[in-house]
Amino acid sequence: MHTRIVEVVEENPAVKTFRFRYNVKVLPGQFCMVWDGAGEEVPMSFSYTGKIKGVTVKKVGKTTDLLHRRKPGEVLRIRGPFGTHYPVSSKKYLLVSGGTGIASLAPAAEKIVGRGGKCRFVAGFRNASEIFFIERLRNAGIDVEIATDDGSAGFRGFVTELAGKLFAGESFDYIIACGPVQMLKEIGRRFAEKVETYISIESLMKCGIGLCDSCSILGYRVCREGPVFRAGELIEKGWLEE
Amino acid sequence: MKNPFILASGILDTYAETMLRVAEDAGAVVTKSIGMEERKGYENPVIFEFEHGVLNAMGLPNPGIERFGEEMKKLRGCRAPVIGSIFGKNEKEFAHLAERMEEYGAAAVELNLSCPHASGYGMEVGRDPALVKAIVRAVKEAVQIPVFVKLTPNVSDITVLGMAAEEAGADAVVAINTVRGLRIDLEFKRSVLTAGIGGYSGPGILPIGLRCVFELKKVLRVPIVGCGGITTWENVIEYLMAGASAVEIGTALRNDVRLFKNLGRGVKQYMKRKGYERVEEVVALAHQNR
Ligand SMILES: Cc1cc2nc3c(=O)[nH]c(=O)nc-3n(C[C@H](O)[C@H](O)[C@H](O)COP(=O)(O)OP(=O)(O)OC[C@H]3O[C@@H](n4cnc5c(N)ncnc54)[C@H](O)[C@@H]3O)c2cc1C
Ligand SMILES: Cc1cc2nc3c(=O)[nH]c(=O)nc-3n(C[C@H](O)[C@H](O)[C@H](O)COP(=O)(O)O)c2cc1C
Ligand code: FES
Repeated sequence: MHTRIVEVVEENPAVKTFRFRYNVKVLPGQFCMVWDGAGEEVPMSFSYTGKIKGVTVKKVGKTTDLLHRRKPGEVLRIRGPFGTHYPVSSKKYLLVSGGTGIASLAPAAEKIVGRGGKCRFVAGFRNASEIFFIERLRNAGIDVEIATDDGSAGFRGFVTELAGKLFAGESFDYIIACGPVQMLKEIGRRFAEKVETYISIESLMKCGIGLCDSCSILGYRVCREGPVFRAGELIEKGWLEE
Repeated sequence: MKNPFILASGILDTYAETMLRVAEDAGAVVTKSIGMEERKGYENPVIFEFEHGVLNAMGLPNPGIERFGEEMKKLRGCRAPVIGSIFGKNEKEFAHLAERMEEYGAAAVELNLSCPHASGYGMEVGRDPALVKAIVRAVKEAVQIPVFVKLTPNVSDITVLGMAAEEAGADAVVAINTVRGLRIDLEFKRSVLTAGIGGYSGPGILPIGLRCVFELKKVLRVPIVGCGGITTWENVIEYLMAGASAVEIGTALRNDVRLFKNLGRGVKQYMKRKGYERVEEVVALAHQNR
């Protein structure tokens, strides 16, 4: 379906959020295929799942660079929502993001709090200049701690370490995480055996509808059976050794 | 084959692990079409889904025959026979690819003479009956395993191609590959696919596939594998009655990886209701009852 961009927000020098109307039910963790008619069609997680939807795009290559030039009023074609979503309930959650992983976790955190659940959020970034969405989360009453690789803001070190510290002092019903694959594997190693752990992974998407096999890992289609997986399920199939 | 359902080439068959999943319920599985060299395929968008099916122009992405050996190794324990699909520019390439597939343990090879959107391959080769003959002959000489020839519907008379394949020694023909098609994006004022024209699959092409199988059955002695647009068990029976001995299914699997199991149940119940014991009794019935 085509939609017009209603707002563009610069989150940091490399990340922009595009807001648009898309009257379809979307659950946090699901993604869509975004096409501007010029670049490639690319997979993006929904960073807003309410009435005005959104995707939050990091500039990393040709197409994301083209997308960053899009202005309000310009047209995007959206296919989706596709894939699985994060578990959302009134239980207690630890959410862990690395980099732009915060984009798909933010709506999950808001939904959990809206359902009467509790969440602690730890957000990792390379450095202070890359931080975004923290205000949004705090405005929703979510307790956020930050980790940076260089210590320029919050905890100095990996976000997985910070998550480990929180986990040692409190009990959680769920951990959900989104970020670079090495981070997700570390989350799996640390927590999957101790608590229900869900992770959202990326893979090369072409069709997005479960036809072409390009996104598959370990026999699972990331576009259908993922992108949100129970970590234990992947680990059983040998994911950590991949 | 434990049942007449075969996974069609290009759907959920690039990686061994996914194929093994589909193979649990399948009579056989066909691999993604594999060529001499690695190909990345076209840039996205390569797929457009709409109410009557799917338009695709993937551009034959594949790892190349050398690297595909790794996947074939993982398929050794596969419950269903693995049919290696291959595409080449000429008879020499096809013969080489078929030899490698045989070495890798393929139960048969399927020659993709029908992909509608990769220039220099597929349909561009498979529309010429003389070339079809030459390729099939070369492959028959190169390998012992059965040779299936997958035909394109994008010709005025598919029986000419079927007869060429049979004369050259094909063990079976598969009909059909996707139908050339186009959809246009009204906002972007261009094709919905990077490649422009694509191949149409899914429910919309069912009547075309059935018509092709029906026509082929009139002129061929070798078995026909029906393909194109199957989503229900009724569609399977239609293909059998039109003259197919087995069917390949692709697009419909996206919504149900265990589809074959459900189709099997429906086909069995129909046969029981009508008093048939074996699938063969249903094959080509529509040719008698006119
Ligand atoms: C389910 C899912 C959700 C995603 N959500 C977000 C998001 O919310 N925000 C965000 O900024 N990015 C997200 N991405 C990643 C985003 O799709 C890629 O960054 C984008 O496709 C890069 O395109 P490019 O042409 O700019 O970069 P390129 O120069 O083409 O490539 C840069 C990197 O992106 C990867 N990439 C390129 N094309 C694809 C593709 N079709 N599918 C997957 N990866 C690709 C490449 O492997 C490479 O690592 C998501 C990816 C997936 C699979
Ligand atoms: C995404 C996609 C990729 C395909 N790739 C191939 C291929 O590599 N080789 C081939 O012979 N046919 C390929 N086909 C054609 C299918 O095998 C099949 O002939 C066609 O889709 C019709 O059957 P269906 O309606 O059940 O999908 C592809 C079809 C689709 C939808
Ligand atoms: S992107 Fe095609 S199967 Fe997942």
